[in-house]
Amino acid sequence: MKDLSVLCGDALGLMTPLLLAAIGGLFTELAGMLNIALEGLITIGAFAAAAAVHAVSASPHFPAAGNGAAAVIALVAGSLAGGMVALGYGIGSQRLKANEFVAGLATNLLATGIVVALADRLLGNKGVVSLAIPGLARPLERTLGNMPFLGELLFRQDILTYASWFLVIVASFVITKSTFGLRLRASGSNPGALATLGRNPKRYRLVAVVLSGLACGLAGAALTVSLSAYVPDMSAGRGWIALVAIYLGGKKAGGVLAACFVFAFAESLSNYAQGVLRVPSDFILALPYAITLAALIGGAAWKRLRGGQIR
Amino acid sequence: MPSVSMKGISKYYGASSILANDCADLLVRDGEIHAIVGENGAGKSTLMKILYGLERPDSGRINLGGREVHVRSPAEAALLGIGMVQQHAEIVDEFSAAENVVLCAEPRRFGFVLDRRAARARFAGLAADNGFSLDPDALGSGLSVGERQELEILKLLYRKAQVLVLDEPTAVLAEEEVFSLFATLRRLAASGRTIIIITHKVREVRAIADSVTVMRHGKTLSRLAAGDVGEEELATLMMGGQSFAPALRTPRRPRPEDVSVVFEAQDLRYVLRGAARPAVDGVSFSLRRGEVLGICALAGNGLAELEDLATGFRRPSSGRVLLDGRRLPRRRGKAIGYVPQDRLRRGASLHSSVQENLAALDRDAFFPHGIRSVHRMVSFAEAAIRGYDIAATPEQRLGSLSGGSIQKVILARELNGNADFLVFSNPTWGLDIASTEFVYERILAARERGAAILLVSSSLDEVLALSDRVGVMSRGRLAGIEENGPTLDRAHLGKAMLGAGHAVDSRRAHAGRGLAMGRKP
Repeated sequence: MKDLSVLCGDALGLMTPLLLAAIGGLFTELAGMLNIALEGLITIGAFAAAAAVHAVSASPHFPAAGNGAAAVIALVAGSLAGGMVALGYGIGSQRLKANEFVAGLATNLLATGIVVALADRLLGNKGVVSLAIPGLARPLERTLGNMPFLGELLFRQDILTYASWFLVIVASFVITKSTFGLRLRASGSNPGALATLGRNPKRYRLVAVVLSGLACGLAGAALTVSLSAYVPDMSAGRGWIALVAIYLGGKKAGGVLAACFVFAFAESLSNYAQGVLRVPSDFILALPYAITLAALIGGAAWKRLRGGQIR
Repeated sequence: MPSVSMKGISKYYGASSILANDCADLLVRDGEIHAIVGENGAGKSTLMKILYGLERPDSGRINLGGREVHVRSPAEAALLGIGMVQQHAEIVDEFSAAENVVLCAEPRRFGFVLDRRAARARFAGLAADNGFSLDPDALGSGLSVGERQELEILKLLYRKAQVLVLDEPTAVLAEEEVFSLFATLRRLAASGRTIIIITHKVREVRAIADSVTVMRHGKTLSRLAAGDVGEEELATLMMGGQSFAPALRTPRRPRPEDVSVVFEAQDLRYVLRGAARPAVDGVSFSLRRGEVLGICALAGNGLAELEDLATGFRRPSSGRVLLDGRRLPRRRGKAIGYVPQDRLRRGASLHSSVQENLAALDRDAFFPHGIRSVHRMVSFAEAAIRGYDIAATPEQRLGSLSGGSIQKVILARELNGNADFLVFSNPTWGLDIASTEFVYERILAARERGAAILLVSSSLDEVLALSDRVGVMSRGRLAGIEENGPTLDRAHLGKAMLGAGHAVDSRRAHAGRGLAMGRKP
């Protein structure tokens, strides 16, 4: 029981970057885009966060280095960088009529390449760079953290994790209740309907792409902050898994949350198993991806059994 | 107030060097239902697109209510109170009817939250005022073609449109739905709105319009009072001099019963996953060489599913489909000639060229040893273009052709293999008189050479014009097949289509009376 609460509690922490990326991707998905650039946008966010903190710590004039402000700077920088790159991707695919898929692929390849080149110049190192970012605040730990079971599960999370849950609620509200959400979904489901009403569906897509960039950048920054370090290829496929989570979650915020938890739990389990099971670590590290594959196949089978059409 | 006058409208499409409108004039008085008739490509749609701001004219003036207006975009047209229902309804399938109507002009709370309750209330009020029976909560995906069209009209009314333009609204409707649409249009005209309807069905002009403008080759020929002009006269005007008499077709003379059975459906049942009742329910029939079996039904009564079962696109839940006594082949190849209802998606590839579409079915002929023979493709395409009088070149992209030409390409391909079994589904939907006539000739020619032909259509006229035997479907069941002939009771068939004996809702029953009284609504 104790193990389970720890395992799930860890999973909730690990879920944060994945959830942020998936919620961002949900907007583009509902706007009718297959946003394969999520992975690249996370990479950009992770790097921009590291570069910003690195620059700030190197500066003797900035007293914030090493305290809580560093984390804020990292998150803001990561998110903005993701948003800006996404804007470029959006303009390329929506305004300049580049093929959406090719433009997304280009974004991913460009992100990987540019990050390596810039890491060498800005961080002075192509490998792991440790950063002076203290851990994020855990606002409920002191008061509620010692509750049995729930303490470990829910109340020892950092503030960004709670913020990500709040964002799920906000996203869900925007998508289902707001007029913007209605039009956004119309732009994905039947762009012609918007066009005949005198609205440009591409404009809604562009907004969705930028939102996904901001969210993915934040996700990348969250990775950097949680490790207090920058590691090349930090995203490790989270953008792709987020894309899967969107589909498995039925393109609904609540469903996406559930799907993200399944993947995060797999990751948590693999961390745990590394210490306990005598299995080669490669296998254990592959566990989250294996579970992704199983979930995809299982999800498709489930939908077919229930008679729904798979899109 | 909202009278419409267009003077000297010209529009030249440079890319395709077509003069779509040539000094066209249009006058529509307020509160009038005005029909614009003409063959495919006569320039009717272009003229209306200009009125709606989708196209800019090269010359000409538009007056609305006596005031000159410049309509530069659909948004501007909407502000002027002009609304247009396109041929294909732009409905968001995932949204409720009310959400579809208010989209982009939503009632809100706090400036950004969709006020669903207000949306439903506005929808209900609008529907009640104008005699629509749509449910505000019905999902777009669950609506019939007719209901989708009603929803489009409601969208315009919600935006306070005073001039309503409908582009061939009846092309995609079943007979019963046409009655309902016409009733709606009459109500809207009575409440002071001006209505312009594009059509190429002369009979509809007399049924619905007060006045009519005839177009040919981009020119407007004459403006007539609909009551003063006969169907044949209109048709002659549209066709340009050639006399036109609606073709009377003699049913096949009775043939001996020992002609071999080509196709057989045995107790077919098809249940869509999750559906409460089967879409096709216990349908049996057999089809012999040299006969046309016509099956007619209103949308949503299992006709589309029957089409799929007969051609192998779906497998029956129970029962058997036999072709020459055997199960349907996995790949229809040349064994079944098939002209589908959904000709743009299932029947053709719009992105491919005419010759590629023509070659798609016959691998042996066009891909000897697995390698494409361009020479054979081109020569076949050229022969087909000549033989079927298709206005295209072999290399032209199919999507750039008119609906009638696309259908001819499909016919040329499907009839080339001399298949013993042919399936035609609504083969003349949206086609003009000349193309319809052409399709009918080809179907009857195929019958003459001995093919067994299954014609499924939502037009009772079409089925009666072509078939040797006639059956109607209602709620998935096939009512007894009868020999076609002068003694066949049309009213009785109409009743059977509406599911006599079942509980029918009042709208359907009303349409049924119209049908039984024989077309004069």
